[in-house]
Amino acid sequence: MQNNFSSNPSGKLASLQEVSAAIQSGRCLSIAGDEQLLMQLPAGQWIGGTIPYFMGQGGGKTTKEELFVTEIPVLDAAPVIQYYTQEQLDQVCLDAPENGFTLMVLPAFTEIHSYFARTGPQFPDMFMKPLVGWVSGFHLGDAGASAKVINGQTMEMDSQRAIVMHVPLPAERMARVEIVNVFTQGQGDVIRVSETGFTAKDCTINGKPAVLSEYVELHKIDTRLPLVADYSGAAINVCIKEVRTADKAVDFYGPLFDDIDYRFAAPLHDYVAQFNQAVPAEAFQANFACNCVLNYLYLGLEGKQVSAVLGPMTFGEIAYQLVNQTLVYLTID
Amino acid sequence: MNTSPSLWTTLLGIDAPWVVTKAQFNHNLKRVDVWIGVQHVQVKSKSGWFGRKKSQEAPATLSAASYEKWRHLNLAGWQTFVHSPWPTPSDLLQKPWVGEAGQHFSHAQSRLIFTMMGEGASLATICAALEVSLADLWKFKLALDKGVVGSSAPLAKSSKPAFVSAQPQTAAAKAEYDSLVPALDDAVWLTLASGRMDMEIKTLSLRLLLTRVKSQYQMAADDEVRALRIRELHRFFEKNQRALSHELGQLLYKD
Repeated sequence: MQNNFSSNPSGKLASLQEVSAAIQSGRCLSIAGDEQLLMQLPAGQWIGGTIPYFMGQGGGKTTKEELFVTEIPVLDAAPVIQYYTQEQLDQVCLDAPENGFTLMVLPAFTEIHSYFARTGPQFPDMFMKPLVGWVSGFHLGDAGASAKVINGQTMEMDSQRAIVMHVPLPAERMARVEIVNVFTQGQGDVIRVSETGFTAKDCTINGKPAVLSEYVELHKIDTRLPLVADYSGAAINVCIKEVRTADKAVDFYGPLFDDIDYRFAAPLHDYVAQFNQAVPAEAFQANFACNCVLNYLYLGLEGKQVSAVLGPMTFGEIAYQLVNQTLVYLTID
Repeated sequence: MNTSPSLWTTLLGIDAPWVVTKAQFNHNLKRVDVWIGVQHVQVKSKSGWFGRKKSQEAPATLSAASYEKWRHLNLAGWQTFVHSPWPTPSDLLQKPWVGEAGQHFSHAQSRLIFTMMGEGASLATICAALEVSLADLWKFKLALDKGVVGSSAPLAKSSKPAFVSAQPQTAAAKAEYDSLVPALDDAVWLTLASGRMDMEIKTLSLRLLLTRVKSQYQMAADDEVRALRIRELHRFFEKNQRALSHELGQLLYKD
């Protein structure tokens, strides 16, 4: 579905002045960018989060001077913008409009991020209504920086709550959330962890007890490759953050679930080519999109154009549940 | 408010030798906590004629060393918490006013919550109707999902899950029922949830949901919980059938 603000429906990188003008014109927006820039914007119908990494109209870009802005189509009643605390978050899908979608931004490496990642799939009405979003972050070179989200209506910035926009749609329209993941399960061993969480220690390898960190070391696993689960045909990644040999622990950017089988991903030979091949035509008409900062970093996307699906490169992507190293997009049919 | 333990013994339907030994009220919260103990016969001595001792039988109660607490059904408008001897004596395990180890709700309360969930009530609705906290309800739901607890209902003898009702009651539900989605009691849902049907799925939400449903179906503690999973799957198809033509075709034309 086209919009008037950008030639690319998933949005564009724009200056502070241009984004300010768009807010003042009454547009409903999703905005990603540096904290200082976000705070200079006028109040209006928008939500946002901090991030300096983008896939812009000129390719991959790291900047604190521009904002990535996506216009959210208002085709029915006005969207509802609100914060959710961790205690309220499991209501998010119940609060969503019966027909429409929900856009959510979570601050990275916080309790609410962890809570959503671990328990989100069990939230009431999860998967029943489209939930899309991203995890805000910071420049990895900024020591002590923290991720933030912002309610543009009140200009209230926060680092512990989720900012949410519930967007109703008329009955004849329908929102869908889809993903593009170029990683596939490799042919290796089947791994299942003993406990759901962001850190894995004990696990089973092909059904036999093992310690995951020892397995990673023994098999010289390329830790840039995610663990991949097969969700009835959808490949869902969980990426390694750190292997702590002394603690016999492996930390991940997302949770591993104790009832899901994982395999390490098959290696990629040419990410950009494989990605461009994998992106379906409908994604070019996405009304929102985001991709993972790990793809940006590991695959050297700075300055490279990866398809025409533009958006922030984030610390986690939300396609109903939290996913890693994945392009997430929303379409409105 | 009558604070007599014997009244609460009657209200809770407690049978001898078990009785309510103590009832404690919080009028601000409109909450009553009752403790369960054993009634036994105590021999008391009493002076008789000429100073001779006379024996007399009198009811008394014994308290347990430790207790487990469960939130039970509201009684007479009071939030009721039952403190039962711990470890739970075997003859109490199936009583409606006790619950499973480590769980918050009694069997009767669990059963009521489960039934409301099965009827599609939201957690917020259940919280408001039963005056239970969302945190406690959420823990109960997670335990159900993990197969840690069951529906607190007697297990069905049939291997096929029982359904609350396959027929819609309202006009709105009737209209929905006229959809392409197979009826709730169609065997295809059992086949799909139990993982015995291969289906090509194009829709991300269904891929994610079905994976969860299959896992929870396998872990479910009893048939009623499995039926809940099937209702969830059916409801998803009803709600999202516009986006599921590819998948619905496979359901409708399955042999």
